[in-house]
Amino acid sequence: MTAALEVSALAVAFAGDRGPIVAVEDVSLRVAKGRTLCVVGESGSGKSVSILATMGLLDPQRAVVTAQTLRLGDVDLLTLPATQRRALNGDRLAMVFQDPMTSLNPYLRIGQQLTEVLEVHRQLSRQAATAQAVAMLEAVGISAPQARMRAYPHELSGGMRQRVVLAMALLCQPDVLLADEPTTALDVTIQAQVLKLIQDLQARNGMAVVLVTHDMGVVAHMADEVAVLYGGLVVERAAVRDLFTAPRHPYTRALLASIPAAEHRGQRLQAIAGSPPSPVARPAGCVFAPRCAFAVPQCQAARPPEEALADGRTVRCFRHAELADA
Amino acid sequence: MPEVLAQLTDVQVHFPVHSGLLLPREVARVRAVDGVSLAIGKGEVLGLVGESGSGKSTLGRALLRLQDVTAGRVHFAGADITHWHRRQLQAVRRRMTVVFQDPEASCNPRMRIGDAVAEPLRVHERLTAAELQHKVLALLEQVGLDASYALRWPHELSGGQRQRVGIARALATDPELVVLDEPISALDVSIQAQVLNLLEDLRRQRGLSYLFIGHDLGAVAHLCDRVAVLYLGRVVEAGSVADVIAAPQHPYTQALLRSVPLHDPVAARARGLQVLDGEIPSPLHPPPGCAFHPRCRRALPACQQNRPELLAFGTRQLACPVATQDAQLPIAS
Ligand SMILES: Nc1ncnc2c1ncn2[C@@H]1O[C@H](COP(=O)(O)OP(=O)(O)O)[C@@H](O)[C@H]1O
Ligand SMILES: Nc1ncnc2c1ncn2[C@@H]1O[C@H](COP(=O)(O)OP(=O)(O)O)[C@@H](O)[C@H]1O
Ligand code: SF4
Ligand SMILES: [Mg+2]
Ligand SMILES: [Mg+2]
Repeated sequence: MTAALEVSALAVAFAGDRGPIVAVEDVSLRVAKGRTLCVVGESGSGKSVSILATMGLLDPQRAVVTAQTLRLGDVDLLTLPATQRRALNGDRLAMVFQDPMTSLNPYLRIGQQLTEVLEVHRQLSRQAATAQAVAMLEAVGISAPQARMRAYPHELSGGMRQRVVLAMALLCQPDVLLADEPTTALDVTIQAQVLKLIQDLQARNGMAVVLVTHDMGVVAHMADEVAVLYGGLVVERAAVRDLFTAPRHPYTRALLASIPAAEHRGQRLQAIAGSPPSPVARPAGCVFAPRCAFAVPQCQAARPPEEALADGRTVRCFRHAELADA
Repeated sequence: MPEVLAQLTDVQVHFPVHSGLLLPREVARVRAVDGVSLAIGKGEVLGLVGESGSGKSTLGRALLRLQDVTAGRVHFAGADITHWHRRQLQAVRRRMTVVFQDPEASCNPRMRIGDAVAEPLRVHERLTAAELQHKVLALLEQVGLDASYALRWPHELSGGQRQRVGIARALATDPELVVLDEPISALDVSIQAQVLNLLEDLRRQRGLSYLFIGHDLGAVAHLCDRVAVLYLGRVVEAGSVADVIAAPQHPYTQALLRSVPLHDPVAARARGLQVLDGEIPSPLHPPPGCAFHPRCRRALPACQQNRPELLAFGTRQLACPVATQDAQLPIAS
């Protein structure tokens, strides 16, 4: 099956005062039509930079982006001229940020912002664009959509704004939706609403979704596949059930074990000691070695390669095979 | 219940909204906290949960007397401190402290870590330079930071480390009560477990009481002894973790808990996302009757008129006549 989006060997380096900052070292992402890939990792692991690079939104003056593959369906984004590539954004490739105000203009009415998208990408008349915008607001669960068209962003709650941004992203029926922590700033109740909305919209239009999150509960509900990022690398990638029932990378294991739950009341949580590496001080060997309970001298010496396992997953750990039964 | 350390009785905190430039007059009130009674026992951890805007932070500030109350009483260690002035409060400030969500808030960027931890000691205690240094290093060690951190600057620390500094500062004056206002919300998952373990250790070692404000119900279930659920400035349900988290009765508590994602993909698929429709209304215009009725699936016509009282059923408190009847809860004697 051809992927709706395929990214392989993505690397991103920013210009820094003391040499390049390698924010993303080697990230591969692949998602099929109608499916959801969740990208999980701690802050600084390179989730946002990977997504921005995929969208072509990083400033070429500051960031050097390289990749082996960058394809949207049958379109090769690596060789596509910049203007054509930009035209795909908001059309076949859409993005939602954690802060909805990244996508919204505070000084323009919601309606104008929505219809503009259609006028630019679809060359629709004002009237036709307005009708579609109202229908889309309704589809994302906004009551009295006609009236809301006249509202300014600040007149809406955080949850409502994120719905508007989703409506805007979906106006052109994108093939792929990239959502970078869209619910992190929201209450659990509103988070559930927004996630349910993404599921419903996906069921209706069959888009592929890449959902960035740091919440394993969100992953459990939303993902078909999961890519676990750590220190600018995908350390494990697997189908969601395989990942939860038999995590192979020590970081994935430790992360899943550290989640507080009512069942473990009164016991100490299994915290992971230390903190994640900064891109300017990444360990020479395995990026997780300084925090890893299973590290051996080899782990400090070299980066473990990305290995493909029989069940289709990939893992970056020298000891994954011997630890499989541990 | 252990001996009561801190207590709120029928507390209201209303923020007046004024209009008019020359002769401003009150045109409305934000009912941030609207009649809350709760008590925290010595060595006890009380969790406070509810959506943003439900009044959790305001309630925490009222308990610490960082916020004046509109009505009601605040007691601490047996004294009625509701109307104490600044100077009187000075004596209890050191005994009740706070840790905020944002680790930046507790770290002045122009102060070295050691000075930041020493600051409350300088205010509240007369120590020699040597004593001060000794105490600061001991505090840092208690929160898992070695002596070298004393000379570092906040920007050199990670979020989790800065939150440890915030905790060290809050502990500097040997308080009995610490209000933890979403202390782990801004931290990475792998760091949250570290800080929760630290809070649990400190509580055991020092016999501390916490008011733990949190929206991560897993963390609340893990750390707390009892939980109070707040909706639009009122407690709708309270009781032990076993009562409230494991067997919630109030429709709001039930819906809030069902909104929390499951951590098992098989169960998550089977159950799906459970959605509580609508949003918490503005405390400027709370709905009449039960404030939750516009979002409640079990609401009866009476819920639109009658404001439910918080009643005791055994060890649980519940403000919902429908839930009470359905569950046939026995009224506490
Ligand atoms: N414009 C930039 N210049 C320099 N470094 C950057 C820039 N943007 C991000 N970084 C660094 O790249 C790393 C990855 O960042 P990011 O992708 O935002 O992490 P995540 O989204 O996983 O929290 C971080 O260490 C961050 O500091
Ligand atoms: N100083 C203030 N003036 C006016 N309104 C306030 C003030 N502080 C808080 N509020 C309002 O009171 C309500 C409760 O706020 P808060 O206690 O911060 O809730 P929570 O911590 O549960 O999110 C909110 O509607 C908030 O906007
Ligand atoms: S390679 Fe070594 S240090 Fe890295 S995760 Fe595997 S065992 Fe741990
Ligand atoms: Mg990010
Ligand atoms: Mg708050």
